[in-house]
Amino acid sequence: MTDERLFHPSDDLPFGEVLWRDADKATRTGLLSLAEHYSRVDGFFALTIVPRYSVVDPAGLYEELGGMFLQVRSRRSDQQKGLTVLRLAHVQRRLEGSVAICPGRFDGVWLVMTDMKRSSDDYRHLVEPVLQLMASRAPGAWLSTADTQEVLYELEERLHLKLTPGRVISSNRERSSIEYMKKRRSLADVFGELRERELVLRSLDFTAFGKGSRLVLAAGIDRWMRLKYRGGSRALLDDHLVSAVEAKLRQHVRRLDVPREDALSGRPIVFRFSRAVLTDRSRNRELVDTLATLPNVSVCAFHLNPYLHVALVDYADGSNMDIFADDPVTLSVIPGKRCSVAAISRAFNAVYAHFASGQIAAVENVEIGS
Amino acid sequence: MSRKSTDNFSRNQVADAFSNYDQSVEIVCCWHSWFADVDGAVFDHYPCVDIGGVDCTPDFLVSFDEGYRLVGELCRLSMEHKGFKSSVEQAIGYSNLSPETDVMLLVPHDYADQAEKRMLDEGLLRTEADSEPVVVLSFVRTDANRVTQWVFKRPTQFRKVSFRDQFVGELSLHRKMTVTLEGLKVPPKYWRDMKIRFPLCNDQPPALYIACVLWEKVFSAMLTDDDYVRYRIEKLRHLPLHVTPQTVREACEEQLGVKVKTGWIRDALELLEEARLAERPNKTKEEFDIKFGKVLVPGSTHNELHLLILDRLFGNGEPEPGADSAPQQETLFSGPPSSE
Repeated sequence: MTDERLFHPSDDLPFGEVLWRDADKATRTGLLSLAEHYSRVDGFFALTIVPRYSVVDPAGLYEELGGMFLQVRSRRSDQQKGLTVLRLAHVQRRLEGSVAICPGRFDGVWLVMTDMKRSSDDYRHLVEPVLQLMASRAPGAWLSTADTQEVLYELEERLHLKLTPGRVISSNRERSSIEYMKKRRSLADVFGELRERELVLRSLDFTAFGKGSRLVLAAGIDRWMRLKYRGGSRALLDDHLVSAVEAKLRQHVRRLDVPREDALSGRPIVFRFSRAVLTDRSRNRELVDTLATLPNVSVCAFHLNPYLHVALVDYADGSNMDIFADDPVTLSVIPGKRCSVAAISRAFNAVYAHFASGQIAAVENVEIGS
Repeated sequence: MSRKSTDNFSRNQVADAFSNYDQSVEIVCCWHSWFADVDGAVFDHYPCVDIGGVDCTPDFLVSFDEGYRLVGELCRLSMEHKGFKSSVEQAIGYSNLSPETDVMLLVPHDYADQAEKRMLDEGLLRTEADSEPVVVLSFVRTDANRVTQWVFKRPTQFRKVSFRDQFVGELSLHRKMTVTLEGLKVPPKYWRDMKIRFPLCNDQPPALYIACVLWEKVFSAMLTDDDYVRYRIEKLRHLPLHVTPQTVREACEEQLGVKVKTGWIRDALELLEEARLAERPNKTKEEFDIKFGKVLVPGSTHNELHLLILDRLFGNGEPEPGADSAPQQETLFSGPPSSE
């Protein structure tokens, strides 16, 4: 437990301040241990972990972009290469907080960690907008309900324990309602109901208890791959849950990061629907409307039916792409010369969350030239 | 302000011109992808050739190692006497490129047989094997059972003239169009990538069409990362983009690898000005300030860029009947369309 001693938890100081004070000694393990300590003494403590993909250290990006409207100070750890703690302040709003950015298990994967609550003003002004601005160069990812199910089932298997779902939030594809499931039941029940009612899982909190009602893990996951650590073993969290989303993020980015020339040579980026959905003119139009109603996007349908050819430009970062469908289950994307993984991810997310279920196909599974 | 681009046209006519041009883009891409697989054939998507001292821009030109050349010309023929004659004569004139040049005259399926007959009746073409080296082919897009294909065939067998490309063997058009009569059926997988690579063909695009291509595929790359960051942090209504036809031309070349005529770009920019999506602070200069960003039209039920621009040009009242129906293959014929 040498790691734990690198940080000195303090009863008087909140987690974020200790993190900043001891930044030079920070390590990934030490930071999670500190969080474990705070979770034991503070019933409301939660550590948010947001995975991001970036070929360069995203701490520099955070400083550059966040620095445009926040006060950002940074300190690098002497103990772990690539780990940076940022102290953020929004002077007018009198908000302050710390964020750690730490290299993940795979090249390009990074973890943004903070004790700011996601619903708090702190997070909303100090973290959320910066992560959004960073997205074109450091994209995150989203999880389909099936992906989340896979992650959580695997976690159960690795822990040899059943997870007890707590608050479950889902929505339907018509954006008309958000559903809360509070009743205690099994994970299988929850996913069964989501599937049956064709709901999209937004977030799920859970606990796992061991023998004698000992808390093994209390955590949450949402469809933006953000994890919430509430308590229990930080080692189990890191080894079995954080690692799983890191792998999912890497997979997501790999599937979307296809150069234009490759995509134009018969290897487009593919979203495959779970069943035939592009079956008539009105369904095709619905898909176009789904994309067109994204807040920062314009689409032009060069052709609507029966095959679909849409051009999309995303004003968040200037990405553009062509979207094409000539069978009822496959959507192909050919990125423009200027096109970010984040923009394609957003487009597919809209299709998944508001049009129809499906998944981003693995590149190797895309049939070539057929 | 002059309404150059849309003067004297109804909303429906402008919308039809948009779909017709999109079809032309696809048809040229069909042939491009076909000849990409023919050994020794080089396809020119944007030909400009000197024929008898005049610069001509047919829709495509294929040059073969053997010296044979094929000029492709798409004709949505006007049935009005003078217009019909002049467009056919122009296409026939392309055969003067060289003695080894054939012309493929592509005519909409709906009236291709009548049109070919009329060319014979009017003495524009003759039937003998050694007469004008022009082969009329019909084109039509079929969507039966939601399977799309572009189909190309000889509409009649009145003439003994055929393509002189027998040396190509199995893939010769003489064989496909004249001997076996099987024609050519081209599903999207063959032209999809081509259409994305070549979003314009050699014909002058309607201003609305090229405006949409520029808006969707070119303008966004004329701004820097910092411009986008500022747009978001300062919550600007749109991204200001200062352009001239020349700078847009350069961006087209950079983004699409296509050299676009400055005049076409000017038409597009003027259309955007008309639609209040661009401003021209100094009318004597060719400088435009584009308000790049999500196009909104209060009260409109439309979501797609070209329809929103039409709303801005024509008002966003209810579309005229049929405006939202599938585009007709042909709109120049007054009679009822033949069954599809």
